[in-house]
Amino acid sequence: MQQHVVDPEMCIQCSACEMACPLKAIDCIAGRFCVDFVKCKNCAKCIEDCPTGACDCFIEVATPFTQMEQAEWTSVPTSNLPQS
Amino acid sequence: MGNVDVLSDSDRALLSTIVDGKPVTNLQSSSGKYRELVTGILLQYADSEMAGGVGFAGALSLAPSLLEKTALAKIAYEKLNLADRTYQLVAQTGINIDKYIASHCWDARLGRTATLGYKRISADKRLNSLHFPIQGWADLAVFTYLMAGVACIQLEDFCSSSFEPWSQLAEAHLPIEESHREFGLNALRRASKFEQELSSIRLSVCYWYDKVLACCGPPSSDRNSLFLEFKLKASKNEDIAIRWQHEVANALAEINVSVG
Repeated sequence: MQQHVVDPEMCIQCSACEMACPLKAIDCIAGRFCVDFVKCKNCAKCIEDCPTGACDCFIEVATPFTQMEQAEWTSVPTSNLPQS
Repeated sequence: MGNVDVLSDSDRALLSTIVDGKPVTNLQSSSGKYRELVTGILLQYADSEMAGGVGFAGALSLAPSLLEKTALAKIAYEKLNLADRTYQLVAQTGINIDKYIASHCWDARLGRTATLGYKRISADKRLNSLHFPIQGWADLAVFTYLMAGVACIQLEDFCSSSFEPWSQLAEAHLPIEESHREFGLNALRRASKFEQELSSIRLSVCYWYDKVLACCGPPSSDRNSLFLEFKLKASKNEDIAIRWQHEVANALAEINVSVG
């Protein structure tokens, strides 16, 4: 499945995404903006308001990353799909 | 101050020091909204120079003489250099600039007949006129003159920006952008002496005029009000547009081309 995340290498911590999200699916945790997989409905409002494109980031996952896991990223993992 | 309700406490505190005349010298220690607004301006400028420089590099074969090919190559180099210096400012925010540049296709262009207006269509932040392809030397000269004209007026405006590193950079970039405007106008003066080229110039002015005018931004823009409140810009979009229209009309009248 596909998961919408914020790329920490492109994020300037301006909180535009958090303010743009109508579903309050984005939270700032330890300075990182993390997307709640359950709440996010891919409306793209955050992508429109993000000044750098950090929010325009989707990854293929086997199990969605939690917000706490995302808060520890310094870069976006390519996926957590099992190696075939 | 209708936009103040979208500001956080740290945004309001920063706004108050800016209103008192104190410039901002570091993006990391500024507020979230200020960082967002400044990054938006810097990326729009840098991405436009980047797309322009890459586009000009691919258009060298359009230049009719060796002298004009050399001048165009120099402009392409200078545009990439202006982009580089601006990206270095953006890097203050912690963005991985190499990754950002590698993530976008700088020579991508739409079809000639596409319509955009103010609508954003790409992941990079270039101005919309840079999404359209150039067709021929006269077309390139018209585009260069019109776009560099807008860039000069906007850079002049940025010279008084509250973000000091950007105001200093804008001041340094202005003479370079003015030389690009002169290059475009001189190429038009030379080409306009030939009747067939003059017809091409008139058609190109018709094609590019509204597209470049839209780069001045929409009138009565909420976002521009925020830029004005934070003193990131000094002029309204509509005032930039009016000034550009006057300058263009006067310069093109010299070569017997009318606009509007």
